[in-house]
Amino acid sequence: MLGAVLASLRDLQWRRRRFAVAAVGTALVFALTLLLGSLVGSLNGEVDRTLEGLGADRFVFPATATSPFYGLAPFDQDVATTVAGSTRGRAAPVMMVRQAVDLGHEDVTDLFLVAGVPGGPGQPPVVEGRAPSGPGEIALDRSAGVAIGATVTLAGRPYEVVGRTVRRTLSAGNPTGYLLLSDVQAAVLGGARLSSMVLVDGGDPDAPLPAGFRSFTRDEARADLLRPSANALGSLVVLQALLWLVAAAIVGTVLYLSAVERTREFAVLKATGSTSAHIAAGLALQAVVVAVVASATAVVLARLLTPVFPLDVQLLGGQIALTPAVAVLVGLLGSSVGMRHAVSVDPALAFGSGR
Amino acid sequence: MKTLLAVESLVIEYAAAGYAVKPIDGLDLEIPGGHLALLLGPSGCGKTTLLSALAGLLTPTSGRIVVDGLELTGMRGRELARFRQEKVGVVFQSFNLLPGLTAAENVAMPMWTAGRGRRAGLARAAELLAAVDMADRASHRPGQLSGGQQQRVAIARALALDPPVILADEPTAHLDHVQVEGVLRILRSLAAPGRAVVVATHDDRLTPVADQLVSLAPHTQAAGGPSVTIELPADAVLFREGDPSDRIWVVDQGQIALTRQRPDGSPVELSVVGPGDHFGEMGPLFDLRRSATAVARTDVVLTGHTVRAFREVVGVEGLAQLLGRER
Repeated sequence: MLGAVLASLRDLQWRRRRFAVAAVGTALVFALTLLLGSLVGSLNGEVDRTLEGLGADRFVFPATATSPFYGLAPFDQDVATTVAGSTRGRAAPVMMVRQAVDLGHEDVTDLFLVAGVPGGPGQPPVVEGRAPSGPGEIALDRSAGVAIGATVTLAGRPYEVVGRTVRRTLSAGNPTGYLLLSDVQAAVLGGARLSSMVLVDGGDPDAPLPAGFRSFTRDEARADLLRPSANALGSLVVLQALLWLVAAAIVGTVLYLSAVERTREFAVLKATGSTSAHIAAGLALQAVVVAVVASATAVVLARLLTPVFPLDVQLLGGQIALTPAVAVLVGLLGSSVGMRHAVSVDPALAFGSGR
Repeated sequence: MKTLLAVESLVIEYAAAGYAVKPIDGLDLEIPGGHLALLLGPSGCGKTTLLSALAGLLTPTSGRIVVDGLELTGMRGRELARFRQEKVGVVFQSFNLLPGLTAAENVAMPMWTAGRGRRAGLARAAELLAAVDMADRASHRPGQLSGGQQQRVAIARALALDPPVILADEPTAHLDHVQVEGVLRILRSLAAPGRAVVVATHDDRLTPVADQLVSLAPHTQAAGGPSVTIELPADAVLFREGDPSDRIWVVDQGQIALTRQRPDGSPVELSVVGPGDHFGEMGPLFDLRRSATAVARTDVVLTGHTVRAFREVVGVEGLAQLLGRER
């Protein structure tokens, strides 16, 4: 075994430029898969963080609406207060609505507005400043790029930024804004005292709701919030799988070409007593070395590339830990054709007169 | 002296270009320890094929090969790999050193393959490289060595596990006369008690130092003599594929069918020759065995010529035309 393994390691050194090119190419592909994985994680993560920030485990909304977040069916705030009382938990009416906001200097962006009542669920988890407590105040996510004290314009009305949250976005990076329910009613609903759902924290999940209302659990709410991104997420996952195949193809092609060039070498190794298993193990070792070097390079590359993305893309520890393992599998898969060639080499070829 | 290599009734047959080829047909051979045996013969007579079989790289069709008391025929898998490690060392015509390894690592490779430690392998390599006067090139890669130096390293590699039989295939083929001298000296010195050296070669310079000459040439050509006329009844066989070649035949009357055997043993008809046609000229002209079987399709009358007699009949120009060349 030592002989075939050493021969393979020396071959790596001997053809180091080719293997380096393969490792860099594979690293680029691995880096892209890492970034795609992080994007998928980012899109899932922003929903999880938003739900966590809302501080509710049930989302009550009119049975006629298809979704508390996207199928807007506003109902009277007083009814919402009655509904909140029936849940026996900490509950309050909330309006969630997507709205274009002028952040200043004609910088218009889409915000997810969470409008609640002071002290109820749906308060912003601010990391700077404070939560809005009065009319004309708003808390924004840092990704909006607006400082505390600045003014943004919503439906022609000015709002002062009094607090900032971090990493509270929805629908691929749209910042979330928090303000009082009465402000949204005034700005967006023409002063009508309406809400879109009741956020419930605790209470009796089996307590009957008033007629005409139903509720989502947090998991159902998560699925509902992710629904608009489902196709994009699915496409990213497919793309990720395709990139793994590309990586396997790169490793496989390089190792196959190497194996073809080493045909006589394999014949000589067999003629001097190496078994096919030893030779295959040597090639597998080359695949593993290329894959591990490529995956380590990929992590560095991906870290360097994350700031380029407008989204909040963060490499996940689990993905980083998993990359070398998947890379080795991909490398071994790619090297299987080369291994098959090496195993099939006739040792009598060693007697040929070619040089 | 103890026989280290014994070959009995060895037949090697393989398929080439859709036909069955039998370069070794019933070979018997015994080589004792201390002998340098030369396998002689023209290209295509089966020297390398025989070496491949002796090295356990090619399975013979029938017969026995016994190396140092161990029957090679029938070995498979790990047993065969162990045989290749322990019983034979091979020196290839084109050196076949691994390009990524140093000379020392190339020599140590069989040791490592056999499971010896890295240090043990390198220590043995240093010893053997010194023995072939290559100690100062131990850390060089094959690309940095001349042909003669590479061949010395290849010889050292063949000796790594101290096998009782060393097989060398045209070891002087790629060397100039200065390099040949050193390689010949080493090969001769290897044939010591307990070790036999078998060299397949065209190189006449080895003949004086050999203990045993094994000619694989078919010895086919009839040594002069007059032309003969024979009669054969229909279905009679004039000669068979693989037979030694003696005469060039001319059909006087009747028809002869020339057939060749496929790998599955079935015959395929190559041609039918009639009055005035000649056949079977290549074997006697080039010292080859018959490459086809000649069977009388009807009652035939044939005249058989030696090469010399045939040349007198057809002339040099006729011979050239016969071989497909035009002047």
